[in-house]
Amino acid sequence: MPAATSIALGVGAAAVAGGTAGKVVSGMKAASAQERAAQMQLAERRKERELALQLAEPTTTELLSMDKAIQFAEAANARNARVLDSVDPALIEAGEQALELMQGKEATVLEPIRGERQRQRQELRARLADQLGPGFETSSAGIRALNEFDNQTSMVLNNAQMNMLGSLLHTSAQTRQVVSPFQGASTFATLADVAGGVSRRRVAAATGTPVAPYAGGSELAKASRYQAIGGAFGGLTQLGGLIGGAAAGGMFSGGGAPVSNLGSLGRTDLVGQTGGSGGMLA
Amino acid sequence: MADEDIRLLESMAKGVFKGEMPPKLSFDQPGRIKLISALSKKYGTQFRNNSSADDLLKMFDKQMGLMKQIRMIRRAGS
Repeated sequence: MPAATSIALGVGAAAVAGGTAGKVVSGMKAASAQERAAQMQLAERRKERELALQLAEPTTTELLSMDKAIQFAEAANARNARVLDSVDPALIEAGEQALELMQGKEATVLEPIRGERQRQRQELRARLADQLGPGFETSSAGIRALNEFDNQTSMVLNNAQMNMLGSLLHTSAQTRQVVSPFQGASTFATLADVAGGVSRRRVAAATGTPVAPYAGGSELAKASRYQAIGGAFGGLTQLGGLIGGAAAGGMFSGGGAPVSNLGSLGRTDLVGQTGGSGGMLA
Repeated sequence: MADEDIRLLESMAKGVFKGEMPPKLSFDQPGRIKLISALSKKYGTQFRNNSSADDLLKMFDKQMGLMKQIRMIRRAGS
């Protein structure tokens, strides 16, 4: 093998090795730069989000408004509790009486009437005894008078019990009117409006400053590094091919190998030759 | 409003709604006058505009009417 060819091959191999090393170094540097840029962008986005969230915080006016609404609601609750405490026990009693009536029990509200009925019956008996003598209970007139009294007063009591239910329900309903659960409705609406506005602003601040697209910056840089290392292996393969070709061409053993790189090195005379045998490395 | 009037009104309300009429009070005209007097002191002369006071008087009148009915039945029987 001529000395000029050996020199050319050596220079070519050195050039391939140098180029590969350069590619690796520049690839790694590019990856680091990409990573730094991604980190800077991420940091910048985080700052933007922090600022947006700070701006979305409730203002002093809103906090005062919410505080006032809460105080008002608490006062309304306390007022309702006081009203409930001060409600005439008779109103509550009316409700309980109505419930008893609905359950088919006798209302105690009619106790005075029942008492009066008993008194009037005793008076009737006394009068009948005066009129008819001691055997009035067995006389037809006495029996009829007592039966009529019992039947008629029984009807009065039954009707009264039926009518009383409506009256008692009407009276007990006033308790519900006095203690209205919707007294603080407007207050709660104000509170919900202000709190809802703050929540909406927070959500808008978070969604308006996305951080996710920059979160994978370091992974992209890692991928670039792998790409640079992969390029280095490609260069080494090329270098290996060059050395192998040179060996086949007789540089080391006198044999020849078809190496496409030889063409690029100006050795077109060697391109297409088959490898020899008996070389040093064979 | 004097304590006595308050007690009277309370006992009236208890009697009307709970059937526990105090011995000195009854479902008659004198009892009605006492009740109206107590209600006027508590709610003013326009006490009928107050639904609670109005209900109390209505219930008293209803009880008084029932008492009358029973007395009438007894008179008819004798």
